[in-house]
Amino acid sequence: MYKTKDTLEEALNIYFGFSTFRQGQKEIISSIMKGNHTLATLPTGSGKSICYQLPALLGEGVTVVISPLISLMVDQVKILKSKGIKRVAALNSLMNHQQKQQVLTHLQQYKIVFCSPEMMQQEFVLNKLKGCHINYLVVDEAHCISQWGHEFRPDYLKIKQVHNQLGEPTLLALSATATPEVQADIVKHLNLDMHKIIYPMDRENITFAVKHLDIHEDKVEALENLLSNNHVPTMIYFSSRKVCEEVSRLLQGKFPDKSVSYYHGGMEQEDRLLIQQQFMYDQLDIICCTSAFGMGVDKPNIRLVIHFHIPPTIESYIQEVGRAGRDGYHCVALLLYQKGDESLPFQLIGNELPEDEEIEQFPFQEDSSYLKELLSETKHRFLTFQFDQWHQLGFTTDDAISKIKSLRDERLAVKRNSIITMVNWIKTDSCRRKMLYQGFQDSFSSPLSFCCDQCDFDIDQWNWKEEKRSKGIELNWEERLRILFNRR
Amino acid sequence: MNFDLFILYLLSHVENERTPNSIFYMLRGKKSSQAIQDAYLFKLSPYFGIYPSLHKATYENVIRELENKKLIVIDSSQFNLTKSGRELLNQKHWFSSLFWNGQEYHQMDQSFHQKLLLLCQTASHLSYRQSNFIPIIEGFIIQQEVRKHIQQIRNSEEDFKPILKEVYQLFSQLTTEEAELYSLTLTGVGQVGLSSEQLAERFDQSVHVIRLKVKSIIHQFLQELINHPNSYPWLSQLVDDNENDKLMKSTKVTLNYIKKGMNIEQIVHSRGLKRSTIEDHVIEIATKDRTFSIRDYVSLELEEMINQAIDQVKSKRLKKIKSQLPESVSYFQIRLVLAKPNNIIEDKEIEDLNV
Ligand SMILES: Nc1ncnc2c1ncn2[C@@H]1O[C@H](COP(=O)(O)OP(=O)(O)OP(=O)(O)O)[C@@H](O)[C@H]1O
Ligand SMILES: [Mg+2]
Ligand SMILES: [Zn+2]
Repeated sequence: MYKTKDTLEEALNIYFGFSTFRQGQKEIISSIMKGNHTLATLPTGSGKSICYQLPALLGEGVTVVISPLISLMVDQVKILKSKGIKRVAALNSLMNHQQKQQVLTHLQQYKIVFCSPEMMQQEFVLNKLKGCHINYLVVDEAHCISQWGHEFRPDYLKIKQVHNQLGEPTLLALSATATPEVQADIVKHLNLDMHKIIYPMDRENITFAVKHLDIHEDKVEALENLLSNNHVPTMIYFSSRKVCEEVSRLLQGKFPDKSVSYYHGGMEQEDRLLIQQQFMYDQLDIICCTSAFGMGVDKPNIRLVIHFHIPPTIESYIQEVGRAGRDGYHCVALLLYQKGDESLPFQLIGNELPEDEEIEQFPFQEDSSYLKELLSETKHRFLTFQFDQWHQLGFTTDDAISKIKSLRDERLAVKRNSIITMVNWIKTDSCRRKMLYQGFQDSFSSPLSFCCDQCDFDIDQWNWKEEKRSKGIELNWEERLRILFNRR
Repeated sequence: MNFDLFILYLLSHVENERTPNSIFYMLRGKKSSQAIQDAYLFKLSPYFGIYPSLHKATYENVIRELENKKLIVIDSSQFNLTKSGRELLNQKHWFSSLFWNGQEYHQMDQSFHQKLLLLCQTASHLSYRQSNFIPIIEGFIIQQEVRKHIQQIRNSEEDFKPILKEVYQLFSQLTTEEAELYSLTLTGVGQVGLSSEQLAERFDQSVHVIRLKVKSIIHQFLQELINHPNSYPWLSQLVDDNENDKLMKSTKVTLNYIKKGMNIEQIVHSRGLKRSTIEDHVIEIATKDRTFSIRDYVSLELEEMINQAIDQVKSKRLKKIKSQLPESVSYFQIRLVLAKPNNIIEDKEIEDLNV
């Protein structure tokens, strides 16, 4: 068995080709292999996935991983398969009945099954799971359990129940963005005796900077200047698809030697796949994207992450800059701010939470498909969950409505506050690194390179030359075919 | 403008006869018997279903643009090309020499294209001895088919040289521009395929033109593989051989009832469908199956009468034709006759053959 020190490392090498564990990994792995329910935090890009993948592969039975985003789940399955780990599958609502059945009937044969929280509660899924030996239950992005987390998912609250019904297998909850309050909330909800392994979330290899600009055109110009000095894999985040496409085209025109493209949720699936792969394989230098691109992206050598618009919370900012420097080397995160930029996220929260009228009418609408069309997905999810909950507690519809209204107001206030915190971070004149992570921890490791623009860094003087790779694209079709089929 | 011109060209086939939208449905390959019959009637079959992802808004923009430039005039449901519109079409255009065969290939071209892309990617990685990679095509069925195919190749060939040879041979049928274009859509070691937007930028053409050109290349490949399967022992296997699969599912059911000798009333009754639906099926069958006799629905005399009416009004507009005929003649009968041009002689021959 893989109990001793050496053999864990050996297994890491065999399955993933890494010779040593990164900080925290081994401690977390040992903890769950001993059967402790564990809550663990590690920074973005530090390798949380290995913490359940390795034990899953080494143990008997199926490891179920609950993951909030379908795209993230699908990506992880693809990546594992591409590493030769084939006994993995996903279960989510986008699959048709036949595909789900295919997975469910062969459930025992899988080592890791990624599952969306809503799928887990389905009677026929749960029953199948009950019939298997569940090795571990993993809750990825566990901050989604907490109402105070930036991405509360009501469905995550049902995990407790599912865990019970599965006979309480060893549970691992993981997050890179959980404040102490959120951590406490996670433990409270799961109501388990949890071993806590809390590592600070600061990323020592990221240098932070903000540039204040007066108008949109100045932002674009700042971008151009920056990119003419820095020739490294770059990601630029936008909140608007339209601006994302526009700026992408503009940059491509400005830099004919670089290849620039864009990625957002409004594109055809096939195109998204191509663009993502091009970026992964360094065929693209710069990718302009919306948050739809973030989560699953695990490219080692992104050196520069730029925000053209402001994200709605500190946590989403941490997530998004977390795409940079996953190889551990130095990287830079820059945010471009124009006065009034915060109005966009303020508008967006309006779309996320229901209006009074929507709350009042929700319980009286019979036709649920009609409702789904009328309300945004987040609103619909929020209302369904809330009414279910209050009714279960024996509240009348009228009482539930007023409860939900005040809850909505509370959530609204939380969201407004987090935008304000984000803006304060932008406007601060003290160390950005300290301020970014102060809600999560007390101590900081010293930065690998520069700290931030308030301490020691000047983005305008920064200059990154990386040798240009050949574009492969300058060939003609015959050469291209010969290379493709290894007939040079 | 290049895409607009193409639409203008298609529109010229149906002016006075159909609404501008009919071309939109035709390009999308709308699965209605009317659209299928129209494609046949107006000699638009090559273009049927060659642009299934065309957006309504895009199409409406083109129409508006053509109207603004005074190349077409629309009044109520009718439209006409203007003189300058007609003159514009007299020149040679990017699409003049391009090949499509939408009628035959529109149901299989997408899956063939995906299988070819995945086969090339897999062969590429295996040629470099990399057995793990992220497949560029996600569909489970396509993946399984290609996997099987690759297995067969590996069982009987030493390496993937024969595949390269066949791919090379296919490419040699194309113009240089086409070969460049298609080679850039391939994914494998050292290269990830470009999206249509990226190709559009690179070739400085509209994304619609690029998509239509790629579609034309795929149709050329299909034709080559279907006509010369022996020259492409491996790649020809990627072509779906559903020749007798051209009818829609529900239409096939209707055809089976007809073969059992049921009339329309009986079929309507036993399938519980609307009469107009069953009639649509019969018309679809008549359009696609040249051996199908319409005699059960239209007598020889009536057919001649309808043909005369068509000649008289010099139009394929149903309303106009009907106004020339006695009340008792139905739209269904007119559409059936329209579905079989020059049918009198053909029918006789076919009836002889059927015995
Ligand atoms: N021990 C290790 N040695 C080297 N590389 C590692 C090690 N562990 C993980 N990695 C690599 O680090 C990268 C990030 O890992 P992973 O995706 O698990 O991060 P994460 O902590 O889940 O980040 P996020 O919070 O962004 O989801 C992966 O490419 C992974 O292969
Ligand atoms: Mg992760
Ligand atoms: Zn600092």
